[in-house]
Amino acid sequence: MGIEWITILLFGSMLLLLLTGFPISYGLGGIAMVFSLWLWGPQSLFMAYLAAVSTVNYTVLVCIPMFVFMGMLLYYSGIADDLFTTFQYWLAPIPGGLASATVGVCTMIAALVSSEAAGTLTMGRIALPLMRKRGYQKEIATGCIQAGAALGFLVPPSCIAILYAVIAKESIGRLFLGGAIPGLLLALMYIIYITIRCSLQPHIAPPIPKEERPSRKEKIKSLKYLIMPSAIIVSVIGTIMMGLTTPVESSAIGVLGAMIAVAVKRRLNLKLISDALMDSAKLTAIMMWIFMGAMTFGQIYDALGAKEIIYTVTHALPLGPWGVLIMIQFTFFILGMFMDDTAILFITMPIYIPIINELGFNPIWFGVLYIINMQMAYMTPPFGYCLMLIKGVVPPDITMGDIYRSVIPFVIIQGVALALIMLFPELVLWLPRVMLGGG
Amino acid sequence: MDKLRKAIHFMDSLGIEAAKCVKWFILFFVVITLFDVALRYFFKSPTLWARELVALLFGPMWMLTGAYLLITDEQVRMDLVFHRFSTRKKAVFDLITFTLFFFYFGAIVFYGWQDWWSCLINNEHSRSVWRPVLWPFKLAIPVGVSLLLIAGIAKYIRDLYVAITGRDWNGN
Repeated sequence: MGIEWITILLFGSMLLLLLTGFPISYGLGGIAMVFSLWLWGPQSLFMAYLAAVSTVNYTVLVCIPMFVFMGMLLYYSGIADDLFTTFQYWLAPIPGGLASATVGVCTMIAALVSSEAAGTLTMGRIALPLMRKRGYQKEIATGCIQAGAALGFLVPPSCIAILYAVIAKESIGRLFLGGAIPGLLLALMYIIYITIRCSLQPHIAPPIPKEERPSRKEKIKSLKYLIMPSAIIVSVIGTIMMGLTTPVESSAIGVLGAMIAVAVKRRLNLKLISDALMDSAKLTAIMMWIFMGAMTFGQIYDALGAKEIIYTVTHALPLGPWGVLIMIQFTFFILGMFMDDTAILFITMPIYIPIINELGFNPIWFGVLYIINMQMAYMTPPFGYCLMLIKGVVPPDITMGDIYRSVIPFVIIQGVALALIMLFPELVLWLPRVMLGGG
Repeated sequence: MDKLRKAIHFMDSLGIEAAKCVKWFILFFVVITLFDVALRYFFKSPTLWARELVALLFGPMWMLTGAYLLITDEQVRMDLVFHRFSTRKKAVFDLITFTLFFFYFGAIVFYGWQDWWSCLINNEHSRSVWRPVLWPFKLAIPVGVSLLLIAGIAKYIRDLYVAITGRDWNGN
């Protein structure tokens, strides 16, 4: 049997297996081992253990549980409620102020919590009821939460950025900084869109009556809620930016900051720490076990020479570098319908990154493009993780159809941002170059 | 039947308890790392062992959480078709697909214990300045995957029960 057919069979049978609901982490490794037994006999089963060992050796990833732990502590501390008060007070006079405040808070949360679920769940709990009470239409109310929460992928610290950096053998700090400006750009674009749309169609987001707006004194007073989160962001991202600490050390400093923040709020207790630790351990383990499965899978298709096939195919196609780049992103889009971001990363990147380097593109920039692609995938059916998450927190009068419709404008904005970043790579590359030097 | 239920419950509790222990490693990582950073910045004398110890314990942390993920069913799935199936149909599908699970993790456990044993009798040490003995850390893969397999066997027995009787495991 030709190697092309084996490749198709390998990917095809994996897809079929995963469709039955078999966990991705087991499926990747299981299928790989069946093929390995079939192609090379029982001695090759040793590869499964080798893949496990190499996964355990990715020790830099120890910053992931610590970043997640920091985020979970802050999440449980109710810091988002305070932030929302501040943003809401300050943005009250502008059209669609509550929706813009939601995006603003989500951006802050994204810089504190490296899980996108946290944004959706908290804002679904605090912002959504308030927006509905003020007569906001369902679409704008749920749409802005999802768009804001998905910023968690892009704004540092982000788990997916760490994983990409490790696979691409790039610096985690650079990738963090590379995602910062695109993240802020997207947040700004969302807010501009919300403001323009709501001033043109005031009925979808009725302005808050003048007498109910907060006084100047209240506004100034609410600024105190920004102190703690900003201090934590500066101590984590700032220290990485200045090159003072490694990401692992920054994550530990972040945990310390989060502990202080929770203690100041008088919510620090053993149960909270224990719950936050369990969540962090779980999230980390979910990623690492998928990584292990993907490593096994990767070793098999490496041994098969599938890398070379994909390589020759991309070179044989009359597309040119940009054509290949767009095709690669199209595969992200397709895979995004079936798989989660980590699995896609682990399976495709070992193949794509050499291609990207060869074509002369910058891998940091490519990583940011990938992350924006995943953001879009999470907001579009069928495997729209954000969509499913928000369905769990909205009141029953908001249907799945409402949620699908609500994300359309925001996905279009993401598409525009993606195009902008493709056209102007400096949006990604400028900050890391200025802060950390080099190319 | 009651004895079987108890046995299954015990098998599950192994994985749950393991995860509940290793989650504290994360707090330990934080403390050790902060300690090291403080020594470096304030006393200009970082430890030789902090970084390596954290790195060596990261593997055990996520490895020993694996069984917990299976027991609480928190693995990522594609789940486009599956969630519409009845409990019994799901069990039947799982009975088929989980043969792959045993095959894959069985291979890892087999070679994992072998490798661990050779590490132990050769008394391997890490090649760093600190030179810690390696066999306790190398337990991560064989123990983690063994726990996962135990949880997998428990799940398989439950699925068999559901597939045969058509009732769910808790008896109704």
